[in-house]
Amino acid sequence: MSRRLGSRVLILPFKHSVQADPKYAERTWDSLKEAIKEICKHNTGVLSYEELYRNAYNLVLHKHGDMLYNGLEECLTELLDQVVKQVAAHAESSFLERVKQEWEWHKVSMVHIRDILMYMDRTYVAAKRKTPVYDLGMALFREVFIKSPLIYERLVNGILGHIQLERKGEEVNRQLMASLIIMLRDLNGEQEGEEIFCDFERRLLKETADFYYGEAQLQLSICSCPVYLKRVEQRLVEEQDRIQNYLVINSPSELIKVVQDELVTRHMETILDMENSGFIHLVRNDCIQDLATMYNLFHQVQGGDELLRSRLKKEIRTQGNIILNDVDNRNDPIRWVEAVIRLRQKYMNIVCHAFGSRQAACTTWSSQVDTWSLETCVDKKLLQTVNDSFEWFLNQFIRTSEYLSLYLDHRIRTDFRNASEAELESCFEQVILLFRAVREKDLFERYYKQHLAKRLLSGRNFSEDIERIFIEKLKSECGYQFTSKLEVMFTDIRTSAEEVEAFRSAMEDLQLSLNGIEFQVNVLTTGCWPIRNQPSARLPLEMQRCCQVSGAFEKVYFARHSGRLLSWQTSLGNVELRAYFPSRRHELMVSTHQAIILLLFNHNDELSFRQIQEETGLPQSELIRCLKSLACGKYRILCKEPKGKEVLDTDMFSFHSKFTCKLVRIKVSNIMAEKETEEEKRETQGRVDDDRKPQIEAAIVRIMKARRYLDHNNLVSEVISQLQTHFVPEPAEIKRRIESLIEREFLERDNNQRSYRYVA
Amino acid sequence: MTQKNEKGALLTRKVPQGYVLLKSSDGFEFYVAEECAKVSKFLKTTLESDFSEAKTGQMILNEIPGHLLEKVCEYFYYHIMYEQTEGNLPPFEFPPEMAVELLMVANFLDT
Repeated sequence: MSRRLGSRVLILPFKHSVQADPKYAERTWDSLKEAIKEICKHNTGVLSYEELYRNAYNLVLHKHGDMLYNGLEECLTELLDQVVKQVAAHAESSFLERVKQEWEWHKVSMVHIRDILMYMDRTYVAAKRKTPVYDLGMALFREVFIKSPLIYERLVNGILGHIQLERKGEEVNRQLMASLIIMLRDLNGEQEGEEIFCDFERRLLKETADFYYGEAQLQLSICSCPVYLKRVEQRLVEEQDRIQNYLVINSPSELIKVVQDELVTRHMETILDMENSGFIHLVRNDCIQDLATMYNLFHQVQGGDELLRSRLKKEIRTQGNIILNDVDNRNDPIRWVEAVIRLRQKYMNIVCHAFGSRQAACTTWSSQVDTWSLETCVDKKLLQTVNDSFEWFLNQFIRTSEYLSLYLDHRIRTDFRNASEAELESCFEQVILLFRAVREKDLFERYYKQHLAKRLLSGRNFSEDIERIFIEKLKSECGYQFTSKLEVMFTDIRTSAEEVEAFRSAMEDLQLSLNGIEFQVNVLTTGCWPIRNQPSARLPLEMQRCCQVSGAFEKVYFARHSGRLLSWQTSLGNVELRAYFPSRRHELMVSTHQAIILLLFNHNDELSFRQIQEETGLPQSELIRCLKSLACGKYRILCKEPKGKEVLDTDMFSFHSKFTCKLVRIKVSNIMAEKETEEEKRETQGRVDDDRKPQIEAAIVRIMKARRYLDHNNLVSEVISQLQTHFVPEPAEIKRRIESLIEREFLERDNNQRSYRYVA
Repeated sequence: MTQKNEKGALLTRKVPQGYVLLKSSDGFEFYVAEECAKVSKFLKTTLESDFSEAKTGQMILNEIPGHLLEKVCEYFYYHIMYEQTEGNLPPFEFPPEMAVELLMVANFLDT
């Protein structure tokens, strides 16, 4: 019917016989009260619902709602008071069980009471804005039963006691706990003094904190770091399990946080610094699993990540310094670089496998180290820490660039025949990773170029494919410009071969012979090759014939390319000599300069250092190097007096007539490829500095051209950011360059501020 | 669907499965499908509670005389029949003089 009326209409009775009876209300209420008591005794079955409903209906209808509602409240309070007394009498063992029982009965009873008083809920309660019957029942249960001094403390302590017991490893009745905790939660009121559940939670957190405080004290004193970490992890799993199974609290995260605080946050430093099992120990011994546990625990608490990072940084720096300070390493570029690469791989391995999210660590566990896919799931900040630390310590050592290039040179020259391309590629990858951390990239470029030049010119031990792999890597790392000169070097070698071919055919056309000389020339572009213009050595008579050929080559070359200038670099040449020793004949593969020295001994048996220098006109350092390789190297073709490893300018040299060797062809190695002397280093540094000047100036002009007007500080920072991929310029140097540009009227100073204006 | 019995018959007989027996104040008895009876919130609560009526499946409605209870039962079936229907429904017919009494009964039964 309500369907058709649309809205509910309160129908007032217009006649009723029972109204006349003044005692009617009291009598009806009494019968209802009896019925409520019956219900609370679980005797619902004997009662007639219709009758009770009708009675309640009539009471409300005849404006006795107040009486019914207040009577109900009174009656329930009375009943619950009795229950308190009964329950309080129970011993500890059955107390909690009984509370739960009462609670469940009460809920059932309240459902029934609500049902018979349904009409009151619908009309009286709604109109007077009172608490509905069921909720009233719940509130009374809380106020009268739970909060009774006889019950509350025992109840809360009982629950907390059980949780504590379980933490200590005993079995408890989880179901009972769950229903009691849910009971407290359901009974939680919103007003002051009704928040029993919040109170319970507060006490739970406090108990938890106390428990784990003690636990941490105890365990830290007896456990090693990994054992402790595992224990903590286990504890956290247990707490999670508790929360999932029965500890249905509003703020489970807070509980977990309390546990983490007590077990981890408070003791982070202690855990990390444990003697013989702490962080350093784990890292040094590659205990990936333990480190992963540690990371997971620390990652979740505040400050944990920062602490881990700072420890890792410190450790890497320590290890880095060990490598830097090791004298053997310092003097052996190959060993040095290999040590650094090993160190880096070690930390990358740790970071990739231990310091990432759990599932990520699992999926990549078996797969080979594929840096790209790993970096997407590992802790980026920790990875950054590793990179930063390496950058720091690689830049501590001024020879990093040189050593890296030497290492590359060594690998390419010795391994390229037997190593597979993939092996070399991974080696290059490692070098590039270290190179990335190097700030002075142009210094590396210079060394690399020097070594590359030597490889290219020697013509042997050289594979363009392999060189190209590395150059491609450099290109993708530093851009096209960085490698453009290197490309020119390759082109030069290729065109040189064509030039020589052209020269040969030209000679044949002219029917000129080459005097039996195998002639090979490389034409190198000036500026792209790291070659100092050295004064040509004085050539002995024996070599004059070669000079004729080279003169002929010049003619042919100039005919093909007009307007070019050729200057002969004897320092880079190679010669094959046929030498007759008393024992047998040998073929000596030597550099041009070595050959010049050796040829002197055709006419003299003994020569002093000074004499050789005078005869050849070679600079002292070059001469020392050549003599060293001839007199102190693997094949001693010359004898030195006095004997020794070093060549001094007072030494005497003579032909080693007792020289014997099984091989016919002897390659006299040049000591050139070794690391530089201090003096040469300074020289290289000086040249790098000179190269930087125009680069800085170009950057300044580029920036000013675009900006027109800029103040000093901004200009300096922009220049630095532009050049960062190549090197980090000194602000003082930038200032000097700016001044030089002002002098040359590219810029002008703005008088008032420290600013500059671009002069077109 | 409904049956009228002689006044004063005892409420002890067995009620078929799925049906309830409603008895008016003046002794008329109605067998109503349980599903239909539950249209009334009052009857629904009664049948789903632990009270004696739920066990026997029969109840005396002392507030409601037979002629009204009959109309009420008719409405139960009407309600169920058109519960799912959208749009215009055929009107539920009842004599106008019964309107006020029916409204009171509906209020009592919470229908």
